[in-house]
Amino acid sequence: MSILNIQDNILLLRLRKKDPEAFGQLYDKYVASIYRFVFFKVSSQQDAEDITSDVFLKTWQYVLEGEEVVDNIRALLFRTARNAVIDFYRRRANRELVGAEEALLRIPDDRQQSLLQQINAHVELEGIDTVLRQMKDEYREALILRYIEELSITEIATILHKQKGAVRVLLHRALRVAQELLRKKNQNG
Amino acid sequence: MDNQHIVRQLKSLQSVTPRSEWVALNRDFLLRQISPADQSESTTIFEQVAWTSHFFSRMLFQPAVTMMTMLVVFVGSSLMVNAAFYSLPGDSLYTMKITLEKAQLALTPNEVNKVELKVEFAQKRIAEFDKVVAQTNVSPEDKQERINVVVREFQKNVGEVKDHITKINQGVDGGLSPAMIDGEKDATLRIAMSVSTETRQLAQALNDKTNALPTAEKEQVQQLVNAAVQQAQEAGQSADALIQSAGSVVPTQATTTPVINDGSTSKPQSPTTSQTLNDIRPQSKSGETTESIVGQ
Repeated sequence: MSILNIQDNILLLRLRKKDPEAFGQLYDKYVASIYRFVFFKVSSQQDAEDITSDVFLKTWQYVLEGEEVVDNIRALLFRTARNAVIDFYRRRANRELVGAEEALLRIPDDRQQSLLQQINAHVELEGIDTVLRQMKDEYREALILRYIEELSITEIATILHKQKGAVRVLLHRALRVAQELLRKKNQNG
Repeated sequence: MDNQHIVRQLKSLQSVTPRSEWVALNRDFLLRQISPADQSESTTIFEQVAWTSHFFSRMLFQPAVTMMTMLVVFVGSSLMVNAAFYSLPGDSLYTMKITLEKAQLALTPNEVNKVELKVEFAQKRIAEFDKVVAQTNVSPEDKQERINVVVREFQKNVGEVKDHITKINQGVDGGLSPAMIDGEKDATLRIAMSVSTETRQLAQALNDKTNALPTAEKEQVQQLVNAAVQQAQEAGQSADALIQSAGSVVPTQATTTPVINDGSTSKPQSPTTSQTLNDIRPQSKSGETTESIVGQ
C-alpha cells in the first residue's frame, strides 16, 4: 500500500511540473479503474469513454491550477469522476430530448450488450451487474470503490466527503442491500 | 459468509475493461490536449470563442452563430467537445460536431485561415468515411445513410474551399488594395499550394476508398462520390489558378501545364514568396526560372 503511495506521489510531483510523460503514466495506470467506475454508473460504453477522457483532462488541469493542494492523486481522480458523472446526468436532464432520441437512449447499445456477455462469460450468471444497477447510487459507489477498485476506507472517505465511520456503515448497508437484491433476483428467475 | 459471496461476485466485475482501441486513441488525444506546443482543437475553439465573443461581438452578426457561440461557451464543456470530436454520423453528437466546426469557421477572422480549416474538415470527413465503413454493428441501410452523410459533408467542405479560393482569386485579380494583396500574398500562396495538393489527395483517397467498398455499397454511393471527387478536383484547379494569377512560376502538378511567367522574374517586393515556394518544392522542374528568382 505504501509503495503505491510513493509511486503516486512521485507521479504527482512530476505532474505539477507539467510533465506529459507523467500524465501518460497516470493515464495508463488508472484509465481502466476510472472507466469501470464510470461505466457502472452510466451503463453506456460511449458515455463512459467520453466521461473518462474528460476526467483525466480535468484532473490534469486541477493539479496544475486548482486551489487545493493535491496529496492523493488517485482519490482526486475518483472524486473528479464522481463529479463528472453528476454533471453528465444534470446536463442530460437539462437537454431537450426529441422523442425518438429518448427512445434510442433506452435501447441497449450493441457494444454494451456484448460487454455484458463478456462479463457473464467470466461470472456465474447471478446478475451481480444488474443488482449493482438497481441499487441506490450511494451504495453502489461504496461497493465499487471498496471491492472492485480496492481502495482503502480512508481514501473512500476522501472521495465521498464522509467520515471513515460513515463509510464503514455505508458499506455494511450496501452489502446487505446487494444480498437482498441478489436473493430476490435468484428467486424470481 | 453471504458477504464473502457478494464480495467475490463484485470482484469478478474487475474483468470489465475499456476497449483497447479507445484507450490508445484517447491517450494520444489527451496528450495532444495537454501539450502546450500544439494547440489542441477544443482549446482553440474555446480560446477563440471566449476571446472573440468578448472583444469582437460585432463580428457575430449572424444570430445563429451568436446563439451557437453562447451555447458552446455556457454549455459546451470539454466533455461535450471531446465527445463530439469522436462522433460519427449516426451518433447524436455528430450534428453538434458539424455545428462546432461551423462556429469555429465563423469565428476565424482571417480568410486564409478559414480555407485551411475547411481543408482540415474535409480531411476529417475522409477519416470518418473509413470509420463508418468499418462499423460492423449497423444495418446496411444505416451504414449507407451514414456514408452518404459523410460524403455530402465532404462535398460541402471542398465546395466551400473552392468558393473561397475563387473569392481570394478575384480579390487578387483586381478588387483588393495592392497593400492587402502583398501582405496576404505569402500566406495566400502557401495555402493555395497546399490546397492544390491536398484536395487532389483527398479526391484520390475518396475515390480509392469507394472502389474498395463491396459492390452493392459502392453502387449506392458512386454517384454521390463522383460529384464530391469532382468538387475536390475543381477546388484544386481553382487553387492552381490562384497560384498562376499571383505570378508564381512553379508548376503545380502534372495534370496542369506549367506556366512560366517571364515578365515577373524579378520581384523585389516579394522575395520571401519565391523563397517559400522554393522551400516547398525543392524538386521543381522549372529549375532555371526559379533559381533566377531566388538569386538573392
